[in-house]
Amino acid sequence: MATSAVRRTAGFPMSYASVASGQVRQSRLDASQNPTTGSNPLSYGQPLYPAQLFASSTTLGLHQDGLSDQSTPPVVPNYLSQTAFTDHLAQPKPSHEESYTPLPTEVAKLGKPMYLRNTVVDTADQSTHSARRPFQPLPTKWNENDKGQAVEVLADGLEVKFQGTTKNENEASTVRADHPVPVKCGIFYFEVTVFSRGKEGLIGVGFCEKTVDLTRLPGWEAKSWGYHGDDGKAFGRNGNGQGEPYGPSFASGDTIGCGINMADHTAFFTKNGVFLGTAFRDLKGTLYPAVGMQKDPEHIRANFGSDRFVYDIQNHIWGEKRKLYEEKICKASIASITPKVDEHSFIHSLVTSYLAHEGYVDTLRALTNEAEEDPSKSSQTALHFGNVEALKTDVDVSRRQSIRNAVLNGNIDEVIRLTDEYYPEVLKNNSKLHFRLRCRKLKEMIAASMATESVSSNGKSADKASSEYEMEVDGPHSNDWDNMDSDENRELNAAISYANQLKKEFNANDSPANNSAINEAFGLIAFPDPKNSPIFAQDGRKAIADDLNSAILVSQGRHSVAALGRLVQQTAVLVEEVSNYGGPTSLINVQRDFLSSRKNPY
Amino acid sequence: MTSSTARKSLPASVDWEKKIDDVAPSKLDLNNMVMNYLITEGYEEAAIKFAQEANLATSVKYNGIGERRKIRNAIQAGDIKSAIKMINGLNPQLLDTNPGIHFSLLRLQLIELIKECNASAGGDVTPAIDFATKHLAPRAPANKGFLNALEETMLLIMHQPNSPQLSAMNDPSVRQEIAKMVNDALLEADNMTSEADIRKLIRTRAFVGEELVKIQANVKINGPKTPFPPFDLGIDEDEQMSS
Repeated sequence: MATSAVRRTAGFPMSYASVASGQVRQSRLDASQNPTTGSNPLSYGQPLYPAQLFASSTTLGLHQDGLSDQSTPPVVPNYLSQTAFTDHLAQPKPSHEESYTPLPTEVAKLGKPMYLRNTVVDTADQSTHSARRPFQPLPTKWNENDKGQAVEVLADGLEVKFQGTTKNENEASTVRADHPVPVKCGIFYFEVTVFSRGKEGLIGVGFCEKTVDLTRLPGWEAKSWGYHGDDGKAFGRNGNGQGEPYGPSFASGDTIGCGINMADHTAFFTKNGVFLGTAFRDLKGTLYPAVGMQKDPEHIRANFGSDRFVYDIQNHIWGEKRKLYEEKICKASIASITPKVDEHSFIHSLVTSYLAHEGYVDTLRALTNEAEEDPSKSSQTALHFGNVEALKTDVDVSRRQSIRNAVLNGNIDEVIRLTDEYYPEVLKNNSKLHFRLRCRKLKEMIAASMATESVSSNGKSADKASSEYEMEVDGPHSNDWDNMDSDENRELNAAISYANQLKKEFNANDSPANNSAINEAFGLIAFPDPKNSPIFAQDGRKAIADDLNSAILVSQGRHSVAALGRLVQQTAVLVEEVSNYGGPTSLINVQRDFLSSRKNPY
Repeated sequence: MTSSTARKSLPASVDWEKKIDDVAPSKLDLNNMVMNYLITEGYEEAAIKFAQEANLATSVKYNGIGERRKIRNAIQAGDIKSAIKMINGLNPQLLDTNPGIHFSLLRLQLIELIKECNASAGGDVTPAIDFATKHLAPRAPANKGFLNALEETMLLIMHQPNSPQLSAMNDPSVRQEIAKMVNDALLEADNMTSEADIRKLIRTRAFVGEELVKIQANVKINGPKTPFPPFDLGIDEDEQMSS
């Protein structure tokens, strides 16, 4: 699992700006679908971040393919995809106009370390957005400008070797990572593999603040914490430099993991994939991963998440999330949200109002009928059933439904007619939406002409198309074919004159955006099956149906977003805000935990 | 320390409404959340209609969705006998693998019997005692909790009808709770999450809202103190007026 996830990031290094084009989007999907054949050489054992590029880069960017602009998506270890760190649902939206069609959630997930994927860091729908706030940088390598004299940072910035001398046994040499652990991480985890322990194994793995003296091992000083290889003691519990028995000692070949839990301000270690228990509590401060040594030839290599971890950190985070859910979230009082109705009725109302809002009338009707069979749970239940009745017979709901159906059938003339009849203000006040509808009509016209079928014909279009196709094969020179050919031309000509009319009406000469939107439709001609082309985009109808529905609701003085949507919005903003202070909410990732179809297993 | 350095430049107030409006949950995600609710709560017809109307590609088998709701409704109505029959029809192993649930159901059935006996002319409690001896007593020794619960229930036989003890055990919330346990177990047996996502979301909204209040009340934390807007379901008087 981790393999494909890490490799998947290989498909990601491209500028955000280019993502707007469907072509790039497609190629990214291909890369994710076929992780083993990606052209990018990224794999385990190879350095994820070329050190020379990092010297000048402040963000955690993976610069490959020669693309080194700041908008390159950052690479974040997979496990952080579970925490608040990657949850960008509530981040500033891009100014990009096409943002009403979000990319598939899957695509948005590429490029972050799997373990971070369920925390606030994730939810990033970073697909289209150069406007997104950049990730807070994560520790990715040792900082060669922030180390004690006697250690050297080697090659790719992950290896550290003792290469000097120390005057006495109180002196050591420690190196800090390039960035501190962001509070939003929920849990940050890194591993250190001991290549050589030297004679005494005086290696300390841990973390410390920026101000701590680097001629000492992690944990010997205040504001510094460490687990030491020679005696297995944990240093830093009391801030007095004394070690306390904690775990086994460690030596060459061992892999020591260090987890810094921002959610409950504790830290733990692992040895060769085995959890050793909580080492420190009540942690405070800005913490940098650190490793210290005392003797030649001590030598280690760190893994900040670019390679697979020995310990199953993903599972660890799921466990923490489950605990948070069971111990805290489940016990939260919902009175602050719904003081009047009980939870059951409240949820039911959220669902029914969503269905009414979006115009899913048949579903609403079926749900209402089924719910009426339920024994009444409380006196309050009557209240929301009353509302459902009101919504069910709501003339507005059925009007919006008929407009939606017309959009989904591609019958744009009908859409405009109905909208103007029922809601005369809507298209008048939304010229952009009006323009999109008209462009949609153009696409429908062209696609219909390609299917050699008259625009106005309804009903058994598939039959007709296929029988005509057969005719074409059997007798391309028959009269039928000639007639059809001219039919097609006529329809195409109609589309062209419609396009010219559109250009005039919407001033395409002075608006390159409008002009290219109109011209885009003609790309359909290049596709043998235009209705399945990315330009036609079946869900383009859905997007327009949704946006038109919202515009109508707004014109009626209603909220454009259903209560259920607002609940998501509020929760995302709250998690985003509160996680800035660390604490338990940093383990929540709204997108991942509640919205993505591929869920966390908790 | 992190918070003080990273948030030095924060303004004292924040426009929550703008931030909220800027979040764009995808329609597909919301639809999936609704679908998840319809399935976990057993609204089969609605789920089928919704898959069509919202054009959702769903791999869910609809068999058994409605059955779960019927089971739930039977338990809530006190018809435990039919509920057990339906459970065994839907998943023959379920009660064997969940002895706690089975015992709770049998106990509910006993309570119903006691109620019937008390209501009958002469108040003959023999059927209730027979049922307890035959079905509950053999299971009780396996578990201390079962034994206590059984003893407590048998005491009801001595009470008058409408005694506070009897009505406490007969409270609809007890049946509702057991109905939920059964539904959850059936869902889990089908490898589905038992808790509807919406419920989790609401709880999370409440929890994080409380956390924000705590942070804002902490004078040591330097952050915006603007209260977060309350959640408004939006379908009270206003909604009805406009319809």
